[in-house]
Amino acid sequence: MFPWWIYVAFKQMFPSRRGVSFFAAVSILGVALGVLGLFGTQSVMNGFHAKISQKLRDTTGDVIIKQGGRPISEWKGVLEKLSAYPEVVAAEPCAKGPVMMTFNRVPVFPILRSYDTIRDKSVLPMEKGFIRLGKLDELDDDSVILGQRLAYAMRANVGDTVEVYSPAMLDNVGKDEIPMAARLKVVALLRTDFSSVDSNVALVSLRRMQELYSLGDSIHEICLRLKDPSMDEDFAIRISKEVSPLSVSTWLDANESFLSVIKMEKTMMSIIILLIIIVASFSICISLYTSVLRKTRETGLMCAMGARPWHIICIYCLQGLLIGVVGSLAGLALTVLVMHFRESLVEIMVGRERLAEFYYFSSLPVKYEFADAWRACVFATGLCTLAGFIPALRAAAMRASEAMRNE
Amino acid sequence: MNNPADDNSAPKEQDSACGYQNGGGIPREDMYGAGAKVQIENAVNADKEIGAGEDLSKGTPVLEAIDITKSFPSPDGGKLEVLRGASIKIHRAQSVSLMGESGAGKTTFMNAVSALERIDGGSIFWDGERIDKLFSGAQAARRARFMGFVFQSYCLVPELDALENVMLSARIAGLYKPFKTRKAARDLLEKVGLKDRLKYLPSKLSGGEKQRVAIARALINSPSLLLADEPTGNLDETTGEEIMDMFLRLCSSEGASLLLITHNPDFAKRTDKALKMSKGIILPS
Ligand SMILES: Nc1ncnc2c1ncn2[C@@H]1O[C@H](COP(=O)(O)OP(=O)(O)O)[C@@H](O)[C@H]1O
Ligand SMILES: [Mg+2]
Repeated sequence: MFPWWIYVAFKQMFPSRRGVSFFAAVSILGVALGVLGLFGTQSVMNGFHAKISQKLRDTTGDVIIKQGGRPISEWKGVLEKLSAYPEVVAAEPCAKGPVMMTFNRVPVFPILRSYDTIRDKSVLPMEKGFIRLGKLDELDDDSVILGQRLAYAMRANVGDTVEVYSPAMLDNVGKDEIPMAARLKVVALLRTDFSSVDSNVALVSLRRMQELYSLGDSIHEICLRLKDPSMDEDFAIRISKEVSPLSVSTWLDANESFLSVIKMEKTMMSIIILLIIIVASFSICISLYTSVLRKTRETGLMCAMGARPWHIICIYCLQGLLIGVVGSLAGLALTVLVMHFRESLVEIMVGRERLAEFYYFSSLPVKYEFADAWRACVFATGLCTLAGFIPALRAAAMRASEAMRNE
Repeated sequence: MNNPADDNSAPKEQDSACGYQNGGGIPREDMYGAGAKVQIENAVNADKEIGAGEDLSKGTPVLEAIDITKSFPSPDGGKLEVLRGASIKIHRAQSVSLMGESGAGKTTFMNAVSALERIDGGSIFWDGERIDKLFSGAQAARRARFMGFVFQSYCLVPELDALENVMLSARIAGLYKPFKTRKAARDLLEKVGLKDRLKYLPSKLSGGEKQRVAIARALINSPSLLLADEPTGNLDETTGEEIMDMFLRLCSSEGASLLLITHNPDFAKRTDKALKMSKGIILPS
């Protein structure tokens, strides 16, 4: 048999024959909405973070080996050594850089990235369906694969021919000469669903890239894809001696500032949304306080019947706690529910196209993190209990004799 | 010093005065440990002697308060002496009424003898045990099993129905046994005439009905002493009569002593002993 004060606290929120009191229902709803706001936002931010991280890995590789920005000429031995590691799924010699590309006299300035057509072992996970409207096999030294959004922007299609000018061409031509553009045929489109890639990257063969950038046989970097991506840091440290004087970095180093912005955004939004829960706890506090004043006599009688002040404190704290726990759990459930229908909600509210335009993805990513849920619940429950504590102190300070006199 | 309570008036219904066995509340044996049972039997034996026509004052008084003084700080910084040496003695199964003008200190006196309020001077005994010097926790534990309260305002917990309100008292006193208590509460509510109102919330009950629930609640723990502060003060005359009738009948049939504060001389006449209080002193009867 649980103690009587738990019984009374529970009954005050869920009175006999009335189900649930208005106060309890509204308070629980308020807390649930607060937790929904907090946990929902955090989950979406996590989703962004995770998805962007994944895309960054996919497009840059897990580990990158460079030579301080200068071309690497002695790379074949290193590549072979690195390929031999069982941890390495793919090792790719890579060159990339900005070019000017025109089609029908419309110029764009994408990043051109090499694709090693000879070894055909790219860090780009082409198996993920990145290639649309064409085949990767058709990529040769005279063709190009355009990012889908880039192609849209240029109004170029598969089968069209685009002209490419590289910075090296300008160096090589004499005065009063016009650089000769490389004419490349579009053989496929690249679609990673990562807007900054799809609208800004084109793929050519490694040989073509070396030619465009006058690299000879050199490359810019060696990119590695690992079997276990979470081991990237460890692996980078392990191989750093072996490949020196080349330097080793991870995808994270390359994109640190970008990711830290997302983290920062998550923190800021969480702080603002915490206010909802704080406001909810204020109204719980006020409601309980009013109820304490209203129940002066009943409280007095309970004291006369043998209740101790700490019982009275427990009755009100427990109500706050109960609201906090039930509200938090309801909030978590509500979050999962809302996130389940997020696509429809986003479509109603902003439209799918706009989402793809402003954020990097065409669908809203969500990632639940246990720590977020836990923190939101503990915070909400703690605040609600505290909200009960203030009225509880007031109730316990009431002396039975005076409560009884209150007529 | 006044000691008017020290008299010999006998209970009116002596047969039932010793009758714990017919109580509607929780049986004594359930309430106290086995060791306490001996004491209780002694007490019952004492009652039997009384029942045999001997002096009532021989047994240990249920309540004895001697020379209680109590003052409150008044707003102008002085002291307001409310109780100035009030004394009372209530024997087992005896009913005592207390009348007096408003402001005489009756409520304060009741709060004092039930240890809801600390006293400035004097001493209080419950069943022969001095309690005014105990910690409030110990007082509360004893009070819960020893006393029942009925007030002018009914003080029912609005979220609980009639039956649950009655049972709550047993829960707080730590005497709750799911089946026994429920049955005892049902029986008591039936005795106060609310057989078909068990599941009603207080908001759905009339004033008289609420007070009946409050009376049942006061009796559920089989208290030795009932304290009632103007229990019919909020009720109309007819209902007040009815309730008081039933209340006095139940008190004696449950074997509880009674301290009744009332303004109605008719009610006062029906108790074993009628006392008057004036200016903080209980007058000799
Ligand atoms: N807590 C208190 N503080 C100050 N004065 C009080 C307090 N309680 C009661 N009094 C005073 O004590 C006097 C007696 O009150 P009370 O016992 O309620 O009288 P009765 O019940 O006989 O009408 C009143 O004058 C009242 O103002
Ligand atoms: Mg009074």
